[in-house]
Amino acid sequence: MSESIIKLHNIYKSFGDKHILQGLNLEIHQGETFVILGPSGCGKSVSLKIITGLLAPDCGKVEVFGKDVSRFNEHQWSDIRKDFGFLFQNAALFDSLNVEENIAFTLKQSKQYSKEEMAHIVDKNLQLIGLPGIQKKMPSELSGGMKKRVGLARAIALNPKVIFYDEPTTGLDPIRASGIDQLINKLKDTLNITSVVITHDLKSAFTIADRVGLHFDGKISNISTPNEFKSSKNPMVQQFLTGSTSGPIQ
Amino acid sequence: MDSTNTKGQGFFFQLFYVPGDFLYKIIYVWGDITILILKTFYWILRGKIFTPNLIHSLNRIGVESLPLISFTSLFSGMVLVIQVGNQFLELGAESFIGGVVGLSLTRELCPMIVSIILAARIGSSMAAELGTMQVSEQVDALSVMATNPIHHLVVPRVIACAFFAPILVVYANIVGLFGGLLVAIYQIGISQISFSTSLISMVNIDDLSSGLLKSIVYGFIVAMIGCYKGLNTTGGAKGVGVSTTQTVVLSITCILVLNYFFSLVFFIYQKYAYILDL
Repeated sequence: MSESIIKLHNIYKSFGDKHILQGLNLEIHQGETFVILGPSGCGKSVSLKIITGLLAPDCGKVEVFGKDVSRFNEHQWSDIRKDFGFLFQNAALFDSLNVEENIAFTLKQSKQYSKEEMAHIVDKNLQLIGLPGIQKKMPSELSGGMKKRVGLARAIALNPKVIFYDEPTTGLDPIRASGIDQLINKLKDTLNITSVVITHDLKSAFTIADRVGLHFDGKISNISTPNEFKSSKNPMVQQFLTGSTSGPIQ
Repeated sequence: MDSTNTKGQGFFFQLFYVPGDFLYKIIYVWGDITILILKTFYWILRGKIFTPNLIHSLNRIGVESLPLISFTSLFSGMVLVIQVGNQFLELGAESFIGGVVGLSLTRELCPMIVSIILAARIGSSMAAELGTMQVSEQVDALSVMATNPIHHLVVPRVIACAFFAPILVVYANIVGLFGGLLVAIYQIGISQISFSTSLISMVNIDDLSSGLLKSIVYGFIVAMIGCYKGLNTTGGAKGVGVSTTQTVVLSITCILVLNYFFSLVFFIYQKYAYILDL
């Protein structure tokens, strides 16, 4: 087994009287695609935000690349985040910037690339996501699927070590969703990128995952390979797979 | 903030809970704004300012505000001379019209006009813009891309607003006095010389600088409240609307309250400066 690059130990997080995470434990290995499945509103996005430092846990320990980041300040996080890519649920493209400026944003901030190099990377990434020649379009001119793919092109611009996908196929037609899945697999195979994906799209999850876990009741349980997960006798897993309205998940 | 359900609780609980909760919320919000102010100063003092956003903000706050400020200050100056001029004519004190109008405009009216326009036009737009970015996760996207949102979004807006507020007040003073002069000459019937002489003899550098100093503080407050409300927006489109409204209400309230204290301080300063012959 390859080394763990992200570790969550006994994480708790509450918002007012809502206890979202209650003793969550998780390890993500180098180069794998880990998919977190779970019902809406169970706290999947909160877990992702805790890993990326957008939210601080109430208690527990977060390790990223072997460092304890639980009490990191903004500056310390900035260094770690240079190795992160994040595809947000609604892409979160900057409205005021065109596609080229969005993709080149991190490149420009890093101050390590010339204009020509940035233009080349933008062009290459747009080819990769199958949307060449849309550099000058504004986000408002793009469809939902196009925005997601541009968001992905932006996430991989700086060759991150880890990419976080927040529901990458939600709201896409089956063909576009398959395209995103293929792209995630391609990035893993060609660039050896570690991916953490949260979704409730089962077809997508089993296409891309090396390991799957079920997020429910403030914890991630039943962590296994897709085949083991599908054949699990656990009532929560079975209810989630069959989509039944009766069972432990309400 | 925690929203605890208090329905069904006893009378004495409600008696203490309601004012206590209100006080807690006030302290919470102002504590948060203070932290944002300190973080903003931290970035300003480090000298790291995101220039493209600063230029954009300077253009939006300064240049694009000019037409509205021209109209409001022009007509304010004109109305002021109509009100003051006729009264002073009856009293035979027409030689004071220019000075009284000048004092009113430079000390109070123009800083207030500019600040209220900034709150309504710029503060609301900051809250709406940053609020939309917040609810659409663009602010989170900035953080994840190792870019500090305060450095990138707040600092340029605050600097631009505090920098342009006094410039806009100077401009409003000039336009307002011009409007007043036109009405004084063509409606009240006093001469340009009389108006100008009175203006120069009664308005001094302290009157001008008090207005400018106030406007820097008001510009800073408007931008800080707009940014704070924007970055703390929750709840989608409705939340953006709420943040925008709260920004305008809170900014104008702060400006009016602070204006009283500023006037008090400047009045005391002028009194002692006169006594001590400074």
